[in-house]
Amino acid sequence: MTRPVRLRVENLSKHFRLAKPLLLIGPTRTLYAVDDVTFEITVGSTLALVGESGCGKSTVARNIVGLQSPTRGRILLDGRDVADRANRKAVRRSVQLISQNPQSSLNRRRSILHAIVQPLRVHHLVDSWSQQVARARSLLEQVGLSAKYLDRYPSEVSGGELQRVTIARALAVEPTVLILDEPTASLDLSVKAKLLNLLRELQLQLDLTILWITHELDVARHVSDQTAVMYLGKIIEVGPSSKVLRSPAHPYTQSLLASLAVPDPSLRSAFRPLQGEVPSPIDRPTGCTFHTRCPQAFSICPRVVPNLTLVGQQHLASCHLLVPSPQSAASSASSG
Amino acid sequence: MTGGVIAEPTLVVNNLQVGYRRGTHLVRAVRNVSLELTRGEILGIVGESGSGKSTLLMSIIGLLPARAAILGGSIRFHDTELTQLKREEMRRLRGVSISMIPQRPMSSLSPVARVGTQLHRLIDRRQVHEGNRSTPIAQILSQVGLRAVAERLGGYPHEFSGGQLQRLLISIAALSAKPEILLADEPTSTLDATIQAQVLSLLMQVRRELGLAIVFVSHDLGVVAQVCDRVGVMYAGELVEVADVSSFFTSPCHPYTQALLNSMPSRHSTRQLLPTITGDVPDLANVPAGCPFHPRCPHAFSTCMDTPPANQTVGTSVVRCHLYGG
Repeated sequence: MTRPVRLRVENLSKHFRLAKPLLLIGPTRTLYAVDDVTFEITVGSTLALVGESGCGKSTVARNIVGLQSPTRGRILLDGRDVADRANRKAVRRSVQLISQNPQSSLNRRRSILHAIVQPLRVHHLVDSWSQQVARARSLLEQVGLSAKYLDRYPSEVSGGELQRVTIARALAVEPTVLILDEPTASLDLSVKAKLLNLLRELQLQLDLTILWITHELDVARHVSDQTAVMYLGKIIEVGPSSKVLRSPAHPYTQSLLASLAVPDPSLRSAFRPLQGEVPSPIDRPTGCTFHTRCPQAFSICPRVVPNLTLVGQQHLASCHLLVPSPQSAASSASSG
Repeated sequence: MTGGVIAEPTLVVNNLQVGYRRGTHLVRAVRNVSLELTRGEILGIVGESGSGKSTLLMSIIGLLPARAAILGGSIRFHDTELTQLKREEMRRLRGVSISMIPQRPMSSLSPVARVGTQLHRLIDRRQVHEGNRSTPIAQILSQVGLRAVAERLGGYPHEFSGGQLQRLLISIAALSAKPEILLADEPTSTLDATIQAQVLSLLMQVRRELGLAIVFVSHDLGVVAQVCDRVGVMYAGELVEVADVSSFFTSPCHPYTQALLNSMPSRHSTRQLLPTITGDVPDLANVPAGCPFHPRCPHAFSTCMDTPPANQTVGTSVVRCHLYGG
């Protein structure tokens, strides 16, 4: 059964021009935060976007919700371009972002009730005050919190509960797409498990489409249908999570999995750290951007940018090792 | 680790009690904690926020805030009773015999002084107390493969990445004064996976080379599985289970440990709902009577509600639960 595509990100690029250095000498430098990123998510499914900090995961999220506008590329919601003025209002309602830190995404001087009714007012969804309060009450119930939380302030509520409040606030406008930016990163293990369950139940109930940004590979493996791996602004591997996070094709994804601290002491031998650090997105390495850290890099890697190629069913990876012959890789790269 | 000689423990904590003043309340952050640490051993301390992990570390290194105090019990480092030391005496030990690695390297260094200068201050202070010359910083760093970082010591903290700073601090803390005990409070929780792996392997390396004993506080069970030899679980200020790392993961005894391990996504198939622990972690100012875990425990019976459990030995583990012994 294939369901229609809800969210499609097409050749998305976001570049930042940096300020000229002192005395205005030298060329303007550009930071390539996101570079030619394409993926799509079908209705009711979850795509995990994984990678290390600074790889551009959150920039993708900010571009989708319209907090930033893309340098190039399009974002389509149900086939309609979100950049169109005519669609903008509907998009702002349909796509909701939940960030890592609930403390900083709520106004600490206003009550939780205020936080939840605000989107109802902005989108003119519910008129009377009593209806707004009733709606807020039922939203809190939906995320497993009792009505007594309505009068509380963010400082009086624990981190896990506060994250539920931001979820309730996001659901207030009946979105079809949730973008979760590291929603469980700051939570304790038992609280995290409860939140993962809640999000799963909500997704089934409301048929939500989810873009789940995370650096926790075990979480990604648990929650997602598809996984896209980013490195220095590019997607280097994308496909079904059962493939990408269990038998990855790209050396970077393999290294990520090898540096994952597995909660099983008998698997210590599999724990192999990757050398070096992520290079700066201002001075990206030439060719394959991963070649400076890649244990399998060879002559062509620093020279030619690899393209995403099909390595399995719906499974793409960009690595010269995966292309039949280096010659064909070189020709396809120069033509592309 | 490699058995044979039964070594004298480096650190012995016995029935430690630590309390905080909160208004008119007394918050008992650490209760009845006993543990031993042997040379060359990495002891993991896991638990959720507010379980007393950090307070335990701060009591060992003598850095409890002014509103906290050790109310009872002892912390013995070889023949020295740390709870009885005067501030000046503790200061002489700190950073020399017992060192600590912070959770956030970025915020524990001054942003306005060069990294090299700050590290020199640290080492010079130790020299005054130790009376001998420490190894030069650059030499220490190249010893652990951080030569590239050593060349940039004239830089300020913001010019380094979190992983580089953390490795710098570990190397300096471990290798300049060669302490016997290193306390690490979630040293990798702010780092990316690949960088975390690098920092952990450095920790393992200094442990191997110097035989230091490490207390490793973490809430990441994956990290604990990869580096620790033994694991202690804290709940509501108590150490409810201490086990060697393989029994901890394969046959946990305490119902809280079992529930914690069982809530990990990696133990369940994709999309399956995760088993959770009902209720919330108790407020330390208002810990339930009897066993502190009884309101959330699936196996609780009448005794659990009024009688605090004592430590029971089960195999190689020590468990604080009425289900065992008795």
